[in-house]
Amino acid sequence: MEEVCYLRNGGEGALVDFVSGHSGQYAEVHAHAAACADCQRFIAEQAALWAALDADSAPEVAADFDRRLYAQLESVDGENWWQRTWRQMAGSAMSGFGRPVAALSLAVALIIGVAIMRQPPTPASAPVAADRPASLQAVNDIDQIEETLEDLEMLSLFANAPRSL
Amino acid sequence: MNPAAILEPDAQLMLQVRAGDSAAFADLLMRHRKGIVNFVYRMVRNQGVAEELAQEVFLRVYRSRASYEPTAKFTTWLYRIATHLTLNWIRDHAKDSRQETIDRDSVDGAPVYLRDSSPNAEQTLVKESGNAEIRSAVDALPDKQRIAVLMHKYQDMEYSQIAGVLNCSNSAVKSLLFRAYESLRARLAHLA
Repeated sequence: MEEVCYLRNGGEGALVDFVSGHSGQYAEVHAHAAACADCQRFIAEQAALWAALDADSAPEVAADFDRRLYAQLESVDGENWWQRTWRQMAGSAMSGFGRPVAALSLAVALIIGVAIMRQPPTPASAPVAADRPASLQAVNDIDQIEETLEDLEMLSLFANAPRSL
Repeated sequence: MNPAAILEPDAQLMLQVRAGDSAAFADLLMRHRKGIVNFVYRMVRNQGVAEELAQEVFLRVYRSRASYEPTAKFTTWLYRIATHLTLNWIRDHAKDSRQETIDRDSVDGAPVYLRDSSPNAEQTLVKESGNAEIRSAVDALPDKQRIAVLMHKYQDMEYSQIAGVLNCSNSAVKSLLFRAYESLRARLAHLA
């Protein structure tokens, strides 16, 4: 069977693909070129051109390319690009484990706030304990102990309550 | 909807951008920033202009996100936008370039590389005279041939993708490339 020459039969594309490394018929072209001077010459010239084109390098992209682009994107959206990205990231975190953590943080903040509000005011002009009579001081101490016990009792109720989360 | 396109990572990211995910746009930018800037640079030979045009390409992608449908490869769409913008820029500035060429040629007759005026690029051109000749040969190709060569050689795009960008058949792309490489081989034979 007579071998078909790529160059003489409009198969230059196959030879170009062979050089560029994208040939689907690499072995066939290689075998043919070994015996065909015309195709061999074409391949050599194309390979030289291919290598020469490699020398046409492009400069690196400027470091502030993205920053400039995002600045323009802000004018498209009317919103700060980074803020929006942060909001989306925060939003996705809140949809996962972040939600119970946030709820717990809020509860802790509320408890601390209530505790601070429940503390009796201590004005600078308030009389010091040493100035009071001893009997009045003892009554005050008993009241404080009772109050503390009531608080502990209330906390124990919370501690034994079933978990809702 | 094309099922093959759904599997393409770029198309997936673009669908996420359409859904309002700005982080997906950052991923797309990271994947294609260099390719687009380099492609445009080789068309206009000016880094500043190339980056401005590349920014406009990504802006258009972002503005079009709401109407995006993954009917074709994302890169085909992206490079079609880049090609359109770049050719428009070249046409708008062709008269200026021609005038500058005439002015410079009348002074010293030396080869002129007018599209890039930045000092770094000029130094590079002086340093690499062979490179300059290659650039000149590529720049001298007709627009479609040049685009086909740049996409085939530097962007590693398949014939079908190039055909999609240039809105022609695969065989037309092969023909464009063959003629372009033939011209380049003839013009740059002495460099081999």
